[in-house]
Amino acid sequence: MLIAVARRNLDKAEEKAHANDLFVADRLVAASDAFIHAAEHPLHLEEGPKGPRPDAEEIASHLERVYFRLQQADFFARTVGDDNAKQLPGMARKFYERSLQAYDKSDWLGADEFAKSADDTIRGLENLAQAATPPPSRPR
Amino acid sequence: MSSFLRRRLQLQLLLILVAALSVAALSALLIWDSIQNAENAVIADMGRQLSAALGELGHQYSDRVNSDSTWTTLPASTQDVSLRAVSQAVLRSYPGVEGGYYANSQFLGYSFPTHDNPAAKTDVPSAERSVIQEVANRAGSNGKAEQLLRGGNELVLILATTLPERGVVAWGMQRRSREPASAGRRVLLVGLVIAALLSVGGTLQMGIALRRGVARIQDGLGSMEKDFAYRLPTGIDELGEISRSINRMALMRGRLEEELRREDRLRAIGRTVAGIAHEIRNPLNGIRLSIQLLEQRLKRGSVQPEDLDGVISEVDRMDALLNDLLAFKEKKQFVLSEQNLLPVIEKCVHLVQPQEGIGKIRIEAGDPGLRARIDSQRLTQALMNLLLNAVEATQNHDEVKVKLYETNQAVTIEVHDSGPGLDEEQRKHLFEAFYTTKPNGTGLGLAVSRELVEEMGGKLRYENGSPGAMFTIELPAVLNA
Repeated sequence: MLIAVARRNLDKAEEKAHANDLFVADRLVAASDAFIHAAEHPLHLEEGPKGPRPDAEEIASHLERVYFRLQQADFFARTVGDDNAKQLPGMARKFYERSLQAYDKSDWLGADEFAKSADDTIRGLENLAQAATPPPSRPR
Repeated sequence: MSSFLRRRLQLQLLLILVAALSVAALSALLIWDSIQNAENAVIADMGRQLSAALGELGHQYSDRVNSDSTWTTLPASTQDVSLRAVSQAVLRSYPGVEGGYYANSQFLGYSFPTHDNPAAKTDVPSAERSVIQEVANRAGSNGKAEQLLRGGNELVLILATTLPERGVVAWGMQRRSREPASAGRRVLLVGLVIAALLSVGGTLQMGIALRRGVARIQDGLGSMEKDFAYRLPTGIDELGEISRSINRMALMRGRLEEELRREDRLRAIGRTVAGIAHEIRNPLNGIRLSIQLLEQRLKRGSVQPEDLDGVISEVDRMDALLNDLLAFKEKKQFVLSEQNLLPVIEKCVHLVQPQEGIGKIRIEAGDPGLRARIDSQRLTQALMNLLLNAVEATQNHDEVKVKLYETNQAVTIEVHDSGPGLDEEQRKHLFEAFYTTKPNGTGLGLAVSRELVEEMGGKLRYENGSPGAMFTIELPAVLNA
């Protein structure tokens, strides 16, 4: 679903770019990028750890930040006002819950990746909200 | 004394008034202080909540900014969207707190998530906008600033603190109703003020009423002193009850006095009757003695016509007494004339002397020609009283002495007896009418004698003799031309 959302927003971004609405196009691209990253993180679990292994303390701190970000998700979704966007906070929460479950099982890698997915989902949603509230155009 | 008591009452009323005012003032101060303390506690609590919220806002701002490398390139409206989400998430935990950020003279990320309708609260409240701006600017300069606004029904505290990120200030505002805690106390305060006013007014009114009432009673008592038939004016209050009690007491006293007067009159009648009997008994004694003497002389066959003179004289005296009693209401008419005193004395002694069982009555006259202006009947009556008393007090065969002499424009007749004399108590009441120490006495003899002597311009005195008693009749002497 996240990939689909990313694709749709890329299409919109292209339209905005052609319409010379560069700010909105930039935000939509950023959102698509975030959704793609969110979708990619669970795939890393199948590939196994590549970089340095995160420690539990870092993951706990990250989860704390994600929890705070989750509380912003509904505001962003309301700001976007799109039906698809309304599903995204729920998706982010699911990633957060799976991260917590992994953390409880001391699966640090799983906890880290799902936390990042949740974080990226909310970041994409935030970008969409930013796109929905463009700055006033400057007087020429 | 009454003046002091009146002043003491006034002082007490004044003290009560001062005490009532003091209690009211102290209570008002106490409640006012309590209100202030309660409000200060509320303000302190608001300050603590706002400080905590601003700390959290600052912390999350840093997190948000540092996690996005493009943050500074974003336009303010875009930052506003992200910061609104941040402030909403933060302030959700602080009921009643609204706030956000202030940077480059712009409000960013405002939210009020615990408002009844948070969706409708999208911008900084216009009423406090300028104050918030001013506080935020002060915080930009000083690091921290706050402003308390006291409304009629609410307290508004605005707090702002500068963040480590340059030129950014986090601010928060909380408003709290002054109800219900302060309102309850205010009602109490108003109630207390009203109660204090009522208390002061009541005390004043009571003081005035009491003072008027006391003055009314005092005036009434003054009038009652002059006219016992006067009655105090009565009212419906407690003082009126006192007035009624005084009136009842006066009425009862009047009745008692009337009863006493009636008893006195009855007693006086009894004494008068006794006095009359006494006055009649004396000449009767004289007549009896004269008749006994006449009887003895008849037996001896040596009766002289003069022997009846004493009887006739005493009958005349009784007649005069009865005339006096009949003419009691009229002033006694004394017939004063210049007379030789010795014959009058001798006549009295002659009448008393023949009594059986008595000693000798001796007359000592330095100058037998001493004269005075007297009513001989009245003087005889007075002298007879003194002689009979002296004879009665003197033991058998003891001597009674009558002295006649002149001193300093006065002629004195002294009657000495050798009896026991009079004690202090007897001397004190000696000349009072109807005072007597004798079982059969009336107590009129000496009282009448003194009155008779005084009517002739003389004096009747008593002195302790040595031994016995001594009565002195002092009459003004006749000056030789």
